Amino acid sequence: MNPEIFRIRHRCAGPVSVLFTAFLAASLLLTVLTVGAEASVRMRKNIDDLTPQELAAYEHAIDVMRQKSLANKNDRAGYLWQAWVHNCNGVPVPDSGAAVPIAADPAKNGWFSDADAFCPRMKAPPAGFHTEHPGMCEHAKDLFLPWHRAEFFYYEQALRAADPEGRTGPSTRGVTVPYWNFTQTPTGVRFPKAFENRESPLFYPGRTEGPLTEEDRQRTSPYLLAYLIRDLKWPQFGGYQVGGPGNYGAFEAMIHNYMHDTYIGGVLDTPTTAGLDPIFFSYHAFIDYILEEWIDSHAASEITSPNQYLRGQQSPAFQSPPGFVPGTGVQTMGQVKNYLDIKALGYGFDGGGRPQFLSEADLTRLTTAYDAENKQGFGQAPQSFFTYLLSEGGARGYHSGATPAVVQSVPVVLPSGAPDSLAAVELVRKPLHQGYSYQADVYLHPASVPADLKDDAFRSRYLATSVNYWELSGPGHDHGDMTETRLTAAVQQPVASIQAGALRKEAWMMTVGITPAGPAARPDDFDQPRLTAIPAQ
Amino acid sequence: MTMDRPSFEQDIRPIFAPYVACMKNVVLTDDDGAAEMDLASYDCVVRFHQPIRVALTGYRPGSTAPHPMPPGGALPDDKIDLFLMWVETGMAR
Ligand SMILES: [Cu+2]
Repeated sequence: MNPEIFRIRHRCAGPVSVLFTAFLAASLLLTVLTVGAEASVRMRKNIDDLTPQELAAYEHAIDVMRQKSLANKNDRAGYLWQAWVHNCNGVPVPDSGAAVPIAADPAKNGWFSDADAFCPRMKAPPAGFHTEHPGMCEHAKDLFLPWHRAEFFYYEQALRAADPEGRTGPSTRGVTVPYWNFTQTPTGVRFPKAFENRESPLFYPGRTEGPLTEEDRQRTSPYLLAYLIRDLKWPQFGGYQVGGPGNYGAFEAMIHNYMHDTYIGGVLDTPTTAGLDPIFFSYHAFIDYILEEWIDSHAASEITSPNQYLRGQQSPAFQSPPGFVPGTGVQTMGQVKNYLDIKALGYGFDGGGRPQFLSEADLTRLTTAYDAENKQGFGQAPQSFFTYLLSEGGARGYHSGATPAVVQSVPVVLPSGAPDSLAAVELVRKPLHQGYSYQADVYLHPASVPADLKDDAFRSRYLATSVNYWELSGPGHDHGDMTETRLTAAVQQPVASIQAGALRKEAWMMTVGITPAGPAARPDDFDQPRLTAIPAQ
Repeated sequence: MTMDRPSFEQDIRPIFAPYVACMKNVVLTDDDGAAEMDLASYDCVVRFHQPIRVALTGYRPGSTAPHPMPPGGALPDDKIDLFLMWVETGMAR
């Protein structure tokens, strides 16, 4: 292969763009023609675009849902149950069906106390109680994005049912979850303004504070997001089927997990508490928009496990999605295939007349520029393509990972690049008593170049990928011991670039730097990382 | 047990006994619906033998299980192999 014509992108931009433009024109026309018929489609707006009245209605809906939970923590239309749909596998509910009132915690801005709100220990229910199963969220597999979409389908019904007649405030009949586009400069110090108003029910104490760090900016790079959306096919983007060749999708590992444990923090630190903070819903509303953008750029038919049911027990007063067929056994939120057409589900996304994502053309411009500047390929270019995406095409270099707690270097043989296979790194953390979230920076470098992670130039040049693991153990998930964790991350692009470049005959090393969020990591917490080849599908 | 054909009641159920109460909190789903993960129930273990296999073998090299089970470390190899053999030989009651 001629390194001169090496290209980063998998897709053929020319014809796709033409086709895409034609498709866009056609769908615009269709939108104009059918706009009357679609009056029932509710739009989710950017939270910064809400009118004061719309914001007040959203806050009122959350406040009423909160009151419902205070009157009875097991009310499925209440905020707490809706948070539990995300957070908890099982909760004890009185056999009598009696309401269980709880008190607001004055230290928590009107929210529930941790004792009431955190998931109970996973054990048999006490006498007079039985276990009900609010959820919980799916992660590290292909169900991740569809599951959260299903959760929102019901959560929005709970919002609208809060006070449709407007008895105690603005009517909630038309409320949708406003999304937070975290790839754009925040209107508050760190979050959208609405979430930083301490008087609002949208405020939940304990989040990370202060202005964005350089690392926050890199992890929320719109170029990285656009690359993942436009260039990655389903399993690589959205996650692999259980028992399949991988686990986490790239979006989950590269952006989603970092946002939870570092950018937002607080109760979003762990999946077993994340739903308690209303910022969770606006954060994930944008992730649902991302899923829709991926579907628009690819095809919903590529999404795996279409028939699988999605766990979650919701109020029978709420509607099921169109096409819902109840499965055997306990109640669910329906199947993946019920959630692939948002128009049929009755909602859409309002971009507010401005782009919320970088386009195919923007991305092509960036990657063409990268190709032109870095013809030598991975290892010779001063910035790896991944660094380039994170720094939005600027020359800022890689700002993260300079002081990892654990560093492991191993010699690697580059996978041969068989068609339909992907080079991937396998990271394994041994079972620990106290688990933690961490970031893993993966560098590929010639054995002749010592790994100097303190050196910005080294990190920027040799960064193959960077992924985050989000710790699953938390309140209610405490088994006494924590299980081993595995994270598989594709590094196909840098490996293909090496193989197309002049350095392909070098002996290569892989160095992984682990930076934990929170408690210290010990050098022997991790197995030796492995570079391997996995089937692409 | 008969060495060549393990049975759920004699061979598999005792392996899972310590994890029954905890795992009953968890709902698993498939293409047919959903159920409480009752590791003491033959029908339930048969129904979800695939994800159970993935989780139990999750500590082995080459596994992709993001969170191998049980927590705290792998079952002894002979127990995992017994489960695999039970699946392979038709999951006798
Ligand atoms: Cu999340």
